[in-house]
Amino acid sequence: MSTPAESPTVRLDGVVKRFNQLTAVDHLNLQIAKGEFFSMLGPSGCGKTTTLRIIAGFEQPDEGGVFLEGQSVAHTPPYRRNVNTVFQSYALFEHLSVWDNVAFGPRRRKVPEAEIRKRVGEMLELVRLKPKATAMPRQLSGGQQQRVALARALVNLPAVLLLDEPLGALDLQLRKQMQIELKEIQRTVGITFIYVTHDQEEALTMSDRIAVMNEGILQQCGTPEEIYERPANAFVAGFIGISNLLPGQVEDHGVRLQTGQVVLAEVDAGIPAGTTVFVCVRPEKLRLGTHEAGQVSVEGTVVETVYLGTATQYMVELAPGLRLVAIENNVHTARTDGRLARGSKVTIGWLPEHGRVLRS
Amino acid sequence: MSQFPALHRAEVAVAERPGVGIAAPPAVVQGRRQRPPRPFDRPRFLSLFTALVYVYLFAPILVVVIFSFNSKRSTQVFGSFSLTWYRQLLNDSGMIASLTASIEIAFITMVVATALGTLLAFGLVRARSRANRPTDVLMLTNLVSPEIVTAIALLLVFTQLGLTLSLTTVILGHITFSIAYVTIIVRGRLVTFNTEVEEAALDLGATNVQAIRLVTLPLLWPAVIASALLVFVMSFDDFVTSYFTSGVEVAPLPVRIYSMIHFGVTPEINAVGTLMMVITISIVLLALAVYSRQQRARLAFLAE
Repeated sequence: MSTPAESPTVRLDGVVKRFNQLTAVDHLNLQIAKGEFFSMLGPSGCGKTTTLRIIAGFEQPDEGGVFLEGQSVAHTPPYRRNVNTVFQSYALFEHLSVWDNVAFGPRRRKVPEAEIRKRVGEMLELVRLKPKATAMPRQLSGGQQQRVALARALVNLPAVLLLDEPLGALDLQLRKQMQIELKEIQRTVGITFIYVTHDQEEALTMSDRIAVMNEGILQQCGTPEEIYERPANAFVAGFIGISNLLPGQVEDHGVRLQTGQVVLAEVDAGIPAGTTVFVCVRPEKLRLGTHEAGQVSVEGTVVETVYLGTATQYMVELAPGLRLVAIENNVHTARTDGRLARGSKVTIGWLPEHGRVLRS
Repeated sequence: MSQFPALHRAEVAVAERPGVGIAAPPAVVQGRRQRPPRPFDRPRFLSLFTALVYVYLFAPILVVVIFSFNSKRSTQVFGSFSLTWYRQLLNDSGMIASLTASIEIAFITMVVATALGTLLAFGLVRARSRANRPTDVLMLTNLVSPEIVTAIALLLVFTQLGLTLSLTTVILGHITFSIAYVTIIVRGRLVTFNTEVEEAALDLGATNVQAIRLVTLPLLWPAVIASALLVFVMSFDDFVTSYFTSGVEVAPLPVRIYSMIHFGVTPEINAVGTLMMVITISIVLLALAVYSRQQRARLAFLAE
C-alpha cells in the first residue's frame, strides 16, 4: 500500500480497447499526478476520447487496468467514481435551471441542502454566473453554457476532471479567453485536469504535460517544451507546430541527405548506420544568409516568401521536391527590404543540436 | 377591422403614401413599390390567412358551444340563453353512462398505449437488434391499414377466442391502433436525444434508474404527454373500432350518438361536447400551472 503522495491520481496499465476490428486504444500506459493539467492530443480517431471515456467508466477496457487514487476501478460504475466530465456538447440538463444543473451532483451524493446552497453558490461565483442562477441553459450563450458545464462538474470536487474538447464549439476569440480562465480555475481548485483536444496550440499553452496519441498508440508523453523541442518521432514532429523533415541515411557522425550532402547531427546509439531517418529542424531555428562556425549549412533557392507581420516565412528549395520552411522574426536587426526575393540563392544554417534525428 | 391587422396595415400604408412622397423623392417610393417580391418575404396578408385558418378550425366548435346554451331545440336558430340541455344531460342516465364509459376507455387506453408505445420507441431507437426493422415495419403497417379492416379483424379474433364483447374488448382494440402513434411521436424525440446528457447524469452520481427518472423522462415528457393527449382524444372519439368491439351493456359515446340519429339529434349533444372541451382544457391548464409553480417554489431562495 503506497501513500497518496506517491501514487498517481490516475494510472493506466496496458489498457486496450477494441471496437470490432478497430483497436481504438493500444496498450496504453499513463500516470497522471495530483493537481496536474494533463492534455491528450491527437487527430480525431486517435483514441484520446476513448481513453477519457474509459477513465470516466463509460467504456470498459478489453485489457489492462485503470486505477484512480491507487484503487482499481474495474468494477466501479461511472456514478461511483470520484471523477467528473465536461462533455464536448456540454450535455446540460435543458429542463433544469443553471442552479439545479450545478446542484445535480451534490444532490445525488446526499449532501445536506444547506451545504449544497453554499457550494453551488461559490461555484457559480467562481465561473461568474451567479446572476444567471435561475436562467435555463437555452437562455445562455455558448461560453456561459460551457461555464455551467464546468461548474456542474467541479462542484463535486472530484479527484480528476475530464474535459472532452470543451472549447471546440466556441469561436476563436472566446476560446482564447476560456483557455486562460480554465487554467486559472484549475490553479485555484488544484484538481487534476485531463484535457482532450486536437488543437496543438491549446495543449501547448495550457498543459503541464501532454500525451500525443495516434491510431490508439501513445507517441510521446512529456512537458510542452519536451514535446516541441525534442519530438520522439516524425508523427509528433509533424503534428506539433511546423517541422522540416529532411529524409536521409544515417552515416558516421551525421546523416546523408538526398542532396548527397552529409549534415552533422546527434544520432541515437540505437540507430545503426544506413537506417533511413528524418532530420527534423524547427523553422525558427534556421538562420538565413549567415554562416557561423560549428553550424550546419545547406544551400537553396527561395521559392516563396510570406510576410506575417511579426515574422517572415520563407520557403526554400534545396533540391527538386525537397523544401524547407524558415521563419525569421522581423526584429530591428533584420532586413527590412525584400533582399530575399523569390529566386534568390540563400545559405541556411542551424546548430547541430537543433537537428533531431527521427526514425521514419 | 382590428382583428385583421393585415388589412388594417394596408389601409394605413395607403393613407401615409402622400406624406412619404413629400419627405422623400418620388423615385424612392416608386423603387420601393416596384421591388420584386422575394420568396421569403413575409406575405402581405399573413395575419389574414392565419385568422381564416383559425376561423375554419374553431368556428364549428364555437357553434357547438353557443348552441349548447340554446333554449330552442333548433340547431340553426338561437332562441335565448338557457341551461336546458345541460339539465337534460344530467338527467339522461344512459348518456352519462356512455360518457363515463368513453372517458374510462380513453383513460385506460391512454395509460397503457403511452407506456407500451414509449417502451417500443426506446427499443426501436436504442436496442441493437435484428428484430428492429421488422418490428418497425409491422408497427407502420398497423398505422396505415384501414381502421375498418383492423376493427373487423379484432371482432373475429375476439369471437374466436370466445371473449364476450365488452368495454374491455373496446379498450384492447383501441390500444392496438394507438401504440403506433405514441411510438412515432416519442421516437421522433428520442432520435434527436443527446445521449451524452444521460452519461452526464451517471457521471454526476445518478444511478441508471435515477438518470432515467431525473433526466431522460423529463426531457421526453413533452413528447410523451403530447402522444398521451393524442391517444386520449383519438380513443374518445373513435367510432369504427368501438362499434365493432363493443358489447350490449353500455355503448361508448360515439356509438351511442350514432344510434341516436335514428331518433333525431338533440342539442344535448352540444352540451356533452362543450362539457368535454371544458374538462380537457382545464386539465391541461392545471398541469401547466402546477408545473410552473413547482419550478418557482424550488428556486425561491435565490431571489433573497
